Parts: sequence; C-alpha cells; structure tokens
Amino acid sequence: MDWTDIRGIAPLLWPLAAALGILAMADKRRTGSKPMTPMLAIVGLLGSLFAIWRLWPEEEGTSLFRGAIVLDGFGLFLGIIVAVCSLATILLSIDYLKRREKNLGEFYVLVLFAAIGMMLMGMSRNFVTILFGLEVMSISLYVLAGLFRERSPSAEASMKYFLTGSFATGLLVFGMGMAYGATGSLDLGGIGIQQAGGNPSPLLVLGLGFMLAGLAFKVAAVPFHMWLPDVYEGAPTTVTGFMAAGVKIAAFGAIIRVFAEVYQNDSESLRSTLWWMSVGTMTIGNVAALAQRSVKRMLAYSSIAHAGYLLLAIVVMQGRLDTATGYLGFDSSQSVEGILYYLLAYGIATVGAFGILAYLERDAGGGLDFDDLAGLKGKQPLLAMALTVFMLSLAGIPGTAGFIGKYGVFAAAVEAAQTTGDESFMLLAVLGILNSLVGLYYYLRVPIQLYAKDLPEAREAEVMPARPPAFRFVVATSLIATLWLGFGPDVMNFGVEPAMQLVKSALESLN
Amino acid sequence: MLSLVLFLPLFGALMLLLVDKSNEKLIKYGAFAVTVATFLMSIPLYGAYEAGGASLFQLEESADWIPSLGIRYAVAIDGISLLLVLLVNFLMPIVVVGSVKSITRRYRDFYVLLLLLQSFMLGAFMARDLFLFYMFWELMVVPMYFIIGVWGGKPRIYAAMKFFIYTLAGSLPMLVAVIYLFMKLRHQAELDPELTASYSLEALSGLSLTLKEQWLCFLAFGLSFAIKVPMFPFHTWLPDAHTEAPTPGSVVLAGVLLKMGGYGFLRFAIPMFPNAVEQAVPVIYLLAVFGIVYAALVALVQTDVKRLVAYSSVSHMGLVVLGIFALNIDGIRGGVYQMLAHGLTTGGLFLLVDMLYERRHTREFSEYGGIAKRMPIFATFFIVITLGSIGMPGLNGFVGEFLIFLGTFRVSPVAAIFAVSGVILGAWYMLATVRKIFFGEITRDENRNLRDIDGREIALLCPLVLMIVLMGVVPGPFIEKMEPSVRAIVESYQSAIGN
Repeated sequence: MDWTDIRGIAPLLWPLAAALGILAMADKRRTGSKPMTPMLAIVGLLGSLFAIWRLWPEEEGTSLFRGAIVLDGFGLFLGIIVAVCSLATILLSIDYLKRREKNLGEFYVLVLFAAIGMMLMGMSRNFVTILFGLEVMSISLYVLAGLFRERSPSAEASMKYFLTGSFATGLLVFGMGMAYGATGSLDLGGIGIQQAGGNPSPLLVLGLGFMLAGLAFKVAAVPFHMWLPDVYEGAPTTVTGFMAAGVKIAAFGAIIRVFAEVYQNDSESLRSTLWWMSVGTMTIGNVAALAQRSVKRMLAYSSIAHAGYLLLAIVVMQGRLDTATGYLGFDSSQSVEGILYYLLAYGIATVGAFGILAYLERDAGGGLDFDDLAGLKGKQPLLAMALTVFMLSLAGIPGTAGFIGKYGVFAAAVEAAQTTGDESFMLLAVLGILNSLVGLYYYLRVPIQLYAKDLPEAREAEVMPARPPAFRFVVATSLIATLWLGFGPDVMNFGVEPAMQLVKSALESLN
Repeated sequence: MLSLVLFLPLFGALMLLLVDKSNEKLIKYGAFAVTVATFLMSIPLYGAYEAGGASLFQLEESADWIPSLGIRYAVAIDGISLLLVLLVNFLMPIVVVGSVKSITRRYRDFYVLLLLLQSFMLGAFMARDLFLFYMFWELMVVPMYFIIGVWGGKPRIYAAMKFFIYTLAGSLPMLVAVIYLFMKLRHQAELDPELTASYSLEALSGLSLTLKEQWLCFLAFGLSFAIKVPMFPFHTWLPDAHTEAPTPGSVVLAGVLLKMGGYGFLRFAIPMFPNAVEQAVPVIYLLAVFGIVYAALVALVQTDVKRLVAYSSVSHMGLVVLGIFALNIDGIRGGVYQMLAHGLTTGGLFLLVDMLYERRHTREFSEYGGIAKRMPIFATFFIVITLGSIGMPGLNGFVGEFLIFLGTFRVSPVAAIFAVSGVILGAWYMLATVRKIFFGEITRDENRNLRDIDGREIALLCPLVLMIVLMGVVPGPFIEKMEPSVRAIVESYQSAIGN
C-alpha cells in the first residue's frame, strides 16, 4: 500500500471523512441535527466528485491494493452517477426530514456510507471487495429504510429488507466460496486468466449462478423481486429514490465486472437463465405496475421493469463474449455503453421523481395515490412539468435521456443478434420494446392526472408547503439534465471510453 | 433556410412561455405572428427548390449531432417534402385563428404545444437522417396527446390514451427496425472501408437486404405508417381522437398528421424494401379498397357531423394508399396530390363543423335543418369545401382522385372499380349531410336566430377556399415540383424488382 493506492480511493475517502466528521460532531442530547451536518455531507460528496475529476484523465487501468480495486473509467463513471444521486438525495431530504421532525445526523452518515459502498462495488475487482462494498451499502440502507420506525410500514420495510437482504448476501458469499473452491482465487482478473480458453468447471458455473442470484436479489430481478414493493413503499420517499437508483448502479456494476471477466466461456444454462430472468423481470414489473393505485408503488414495480431492461443488455453482452472468439470476442462495447447511459438517465429521473413525490405527500412516507395528483398543474405548474418530463424519460420518449438509454440497450441486443446470428437476442429486443409499450400506459397516467384532471374543490384552498431552494435546485437540475441528455450531447463518447477501458484492463490481465 | 423554418415555431413556443399567462391578447397575436412568419419564410422555398435540378434533395443543411453513433442533424427537401412543408405552414395560421374562440382556457399552454407540434411535423418532413426522423416522428405524438387530453371533449382521456398507445405501438417496432438497419450498415462498413456507419438515408437505402429482412423491416415500418394513415383495420383510434380533440387539434390531425403515414410509405418503405413491397401490394390493395368502402358505409350512418368527417377521412386516406401502391407515376402523383387536397378540405370541414358547434353546442344532424336561410355565407363555404372533398371537377379533390384512378386502373381495374364506388358513396353521404343541415324547413326554434359567420371566420375560410379552387384549376405548378421525386421513386422501385 502506498501513496498511489490512497490517492486512487480518494473518491471514497472524501465521503468517509465527512461521515466521520458528522459522527464526531454528534451530540447525544440533541434530537435534530446541526445545520452544519448536511453541509458537511454535501462537501464530502462534492469532494468525491472532485477526486474523480482529478483521477479521470491519466490514471486509467491502474490496479490498487494488489488488484482488489481497479481504477478505470468504468468504475469512475459509476462513481459519478452514485455521487450525483447521493448529493441529490441529501439536498432533497433536508426539508423532507425537517417537516417530519426526523432531521437526524445519522441519516446523512448512513447515506454517505451507502454511497461509499456503492462506489466501491463499481470499482472492485475482487470478491472480497465486492462483498465489502455490498455490505456497507446494504446495512446502511436497512437502517435508512426504517427511519420512520414509528410507522409500521417503515419498520416492516426495514425488517423485510434486512431479512431478504441477508439471505441474498448469504447466497452471494456461498457462490463466491464455490468459485474460490473451483479456482483457488478470489481475484476476478486471476480467475479470468485461469479460465481463458478452457472449459469452466461445473463448480465455477454453479458458483456464478449463486452469485447471480445474490446480486439479482439486490436489483430485484424476478424471481427475487417479492420484497421490493413493500420495502420501497415503506421507506422514506427520498430514500426510496436513493435505493432505486443507487443499488441498481452498484449491483449492475458488480454484475458487469463479474460476468465480463470471470464468465468467459459459453455456458448455455447460465445464459438461458439470464434470458428468462430478463424477460420475466420486465414483464412482471410492468404488468404489476399497471394495477397500482399508489404512485410510489407504481414506481417501485416499474423499477423492477427497468432492472429487466438492464439485464437484457447483460444477456447480450455475455452473448458477444462467448460466441465470437471466446473471451477476446468482447470487442464492441455497445451493451456496456448502453447500460452506463441507461443508469445515468434512470438515476437522474428516479431521484428527481421521488423527490417531487416526497415533497407532495402529506404524511410521512405514506405515499401518494394517482388521484392526489389530480389537477396539480394549476397549483404547481413547474413541478407538474418536471414530474411529467421524468415520467416521459422513464417511459423512454425521445427528447429525454431515457430514450437514448433505452436506445443503447436495445441497440446492444440488435447488434448482438446480428453479429452472432442468434435470433433469441432479436426476440429479446422485441419483447423489451413491447414491454416499454406497456410501461408507457402507467407512466402516462401521471401527466394525465396532472394536466387533464381538474383540481378537486376541497384542495383548492390547501396551502402547499414552501419549496426550499435546495429542493428547487435539485428538481431544476435533474429536469435540465434529463432534457439535455435527451437531445444527445455526445456523452456517449464519455461512456465508450470507460467501457473500452474495462475491456483493455481485462485483456491486460491476461497477458 | 430550412433550419430557420424548422426551428422558428420552436423558438416561438419558448418565447410564448416567457409571456405572462394572463396576457391573452399577446399570446394569441404572438402565436399568430409566429405561424404567419413561418409561412412567409417557407414561401421562398417553393422558388428555391428546382424541380429537375442536379440532385433530388436540395437546400441541404447538416451538422454532426451524436458522432459516436453516426447520428447527424441533416435536413433537405425534395418536391414531395416541399409541398407537405408548405401545407403545414399554410394550415397553421388558419388553425391559430380558428382556435381563438374554441380554446377558452389555458391558451398559453395550448399555443406552446401547437407551435411545438408544428416544428416536429416540419422536422419529420425534412429529415434526411433516419434517427432524426424517428425522433420527430415520436415527438410529434406528445403535444398532440396533451392537446386531446387537456382541451378535448368529455371522454378525452380515453381518446388521448388510445391515440398515444396506438401510435406508439406502431412506432416502437419501427425503432427496432431502425436500429437493425443501422447495425447492418455498421456491420457492412466494417468489411467495406468505403462505407461509413450512419443513419443517413442515402447510405441506408443502398443496403442490400435479404427478402426476409426486407419483410420484417417492412412490417415494422409499415405497421407504424399504416396506423398513422390510418389504414383499415388500424383506424379505430381515429374517430375517437377526432371526435374528442378540440377543433384545432382535429384540423392538425386530419390536415397533417395523417399525411405522415403516406409520406412514410413513399419515403422509407417503398425505396428501402421494394421486394417486400412488391409481395405485399395485393394485401395492401385489399385492405385499402376494403377500408375505402367500409369507412364510407360507416360514415353513412353517423349522426354526429364530426364523426362523419372523421370516417370520411379514413375513406379518403384509403384512396391515398391505393394511389401510392399503384407504384406508377400517375398513382403516386395522385396520392400526393390527394394528401394535399385532403389536408385542405378536411381541415376546412372540421373548422366549419366547429363554427356550427360554437353556435349551437351540438353536432347532431337532427338538431339542424334549413339553416341556409339563416346562414347563407356559411352555407356557401360549406358547400364549396364539401364539393372539393367529394372530388367535384374544377376543385382540388378531383385532380387527386382522377390521377389515383388512372394509376390504379392500370394495375388493377377491379380495385379501381371498388374504389370508385367508395367515392360515389362519399358524394352520397356528404351531400346528404349538406341537405340535412342546410335545406328544408327550419324545424328547431333555436335555429331561427342563428347568426351568420363573422369577419374573422370568413377571413379564415377564404384562403382555404382560394387554395381549393386554385389547386383544382391549375394543378400544374404543384405537380411539376413533385414530378422528379415521383419518377425517382418509381424508377428505383422498378429497377429493384427487376423490370
């Protein structure tokens, strides 16, 4: 361990320092937090972004801590999305928590720790670091979900999340153990070298299967999705947004790392498992979202559907890996690029949308029915517009970031179908498209309520809570970012680079 | 110049957003000024486009947009695009004037959406990059959805949702096909250094596709266009959308949005997938003819004037499809001409129906009768536009229909005969409408004091009638502009199928 290692994990150290600072300042006798607390958390995350910016240009592909952490564009890109989403969550939560008299210092500490865990998962290249990141993230989130513990849904959410989450971690560790048993290595690159060219041992495939199940729990892919709606509904609304965006970013980061490096040889059984998982996840998520009355629950189910679209890109990434020239066939980065853009677009829109819901809901974390949005346009024109744009982005309408993301993911599937001639990939793209049509229906219910329905008379006189500057700032920035990314600045180049870096570092580890 | 025309309405929409929403006058005059300016700026396009010039597509403007994906901002027009662009810009000021009375609330939002819609429609007609086209194609649906959903009649939410889901059900498969074509080109570009992967329409038209690929892509593209046209049996969204949409929305829907389907067939489906088209023609003919007759029969039994006009739209657009898929010069010329004519006459009819509705708040035939005595000027306009719509010689509908039948007859006399019967039915129900509304005795007391149309309403109908007559008497200047494009489409089709 030397100076380079420390400098390389600076994006994690900044929030860590902030979190420790907040803990040090904590005062037992006070129930609320000091005004300094959120400031410190914000500084920590800005520092993290600053560190990423400093690391970005030169230090790519460096292995830190003997290969446990790798410094490449892929991980740093995920780090940016995580930091931005956490920042937005904190800014949105200040007022939300104050109104519910829950403005505790611990909240900020936990968000920072969760962010550290998420970033670490994207940067890890070793089973132990992945597990470490996952646990730091998960344990913080278990507590965050139960923040409003006086309300039974929130307590239930926390408990449910904890129980299923621990089970998932168990599966992951079990799988890692099998992989270790099969290869004698915990290092992704090391296993990659061993496996190049040969047939994977059945034990390794089984281990990968268990690891996939563990990570699938985290992103709530079918059939491991049961916990999600209740947890998302019970958790404080800003935390729900944070979970929906952050956990997906981290878990998909880890899935890509594991599958791109370790899983190189064809295993038909694993691929068809992923295929069915992807189809099942999008379909069940979308169909269940159709029937919801609560907006929060609708977004919860739709978050399952989004995991399905992302898995779609994983299926075909793997397809390119094994059908061309084995491991080295991973020459095009369409799917990784698609996933990165998708996560960015999804993260922004999700955090923004949940932020607005948090502002609008009346009792703590109680959620909001579609009817509660009726005619809101008259009272809150700008918020209504922002929420509409976020919904259109999640639905993938052109002109929003979500469209470019969806485009990237489907383009990956079509490309894979063309290069490999495997028609099941094409079928996957078509099923994905049909699913987004279903998605359209429930996303559109929101703008319909906002614009086409009239405000109920009972609510006309109702005074809306003040909109604090931090809230306005986050909503406005996410709105602008969603539209700007949707009209296609060449951020894709930004995405290609990290993805290609992943390939390069994988190749380097082979030589 | 094209970009200026394309983005002026968009810019106007953004400007309107800055106006205080209670400033009704400024908003309405502002929207009108923007649409008029756009129209005036697009008139020189007519002179600037040289039919039979060195290249088919002229006035090209392009810039890199998302280079890593090969996506460019590229616009250009040929004769067909030119005429459709002029149609859009001609109709828009009329729509704005026509909406002054019927839009009574949230007018700022309304005009912003209307101007956005105009930009998107222009973009779709001008785009020379498939991705750009797709963007505009889908974006177009969003303002229309809000226009129907917010300002529409009672079951507006149902109608808006149906409209949105239907059109997107068409365009999402198209997205897969668009990506597929691009990936195919990229794949070939890797082998052939002379090609570059892009969404440019020229490059994509040069792709050699197997028959199976052509069929799948044609189905994906064709479904989308068929829904937009709309072709039987994908037409069911249209009567609902039209009936519930506010009148300006109906005018844009009938006047321009439906033309997107025909335009799409001409610009994309036929040149890119000729072999699949060749095999699909019999089915398309069957559907088109069936649609023409079926919609005409359904129109006969309507009691709501607006619904009747909506069904007559389905019937007339069937003729357009018939002409286009005759795949000879007369047929396509007729199809395009009929698109223009239908845009004017049906737009006019919707405006007229709205004028009646404003006065009596009903669109049922039975509520009217004999009102020509009270509203002679209105009756005159109504009759002229109706005659244009049913294809009376000397008015615009005749030219299009005549050319379509000329083209169709050469390919399939049977289809032509059936289609003519549809036109005869059309004359029947339209003239019956005129009789029921305007002639006979006044049976309702409410109709005794109807006031005739005022200056604003006359001013907004006059340009329409003028164009209807002009296009009927001197079709030359319009046909001349589209001639080379039509010829090019037919020739490339013929050479692709090997004649």
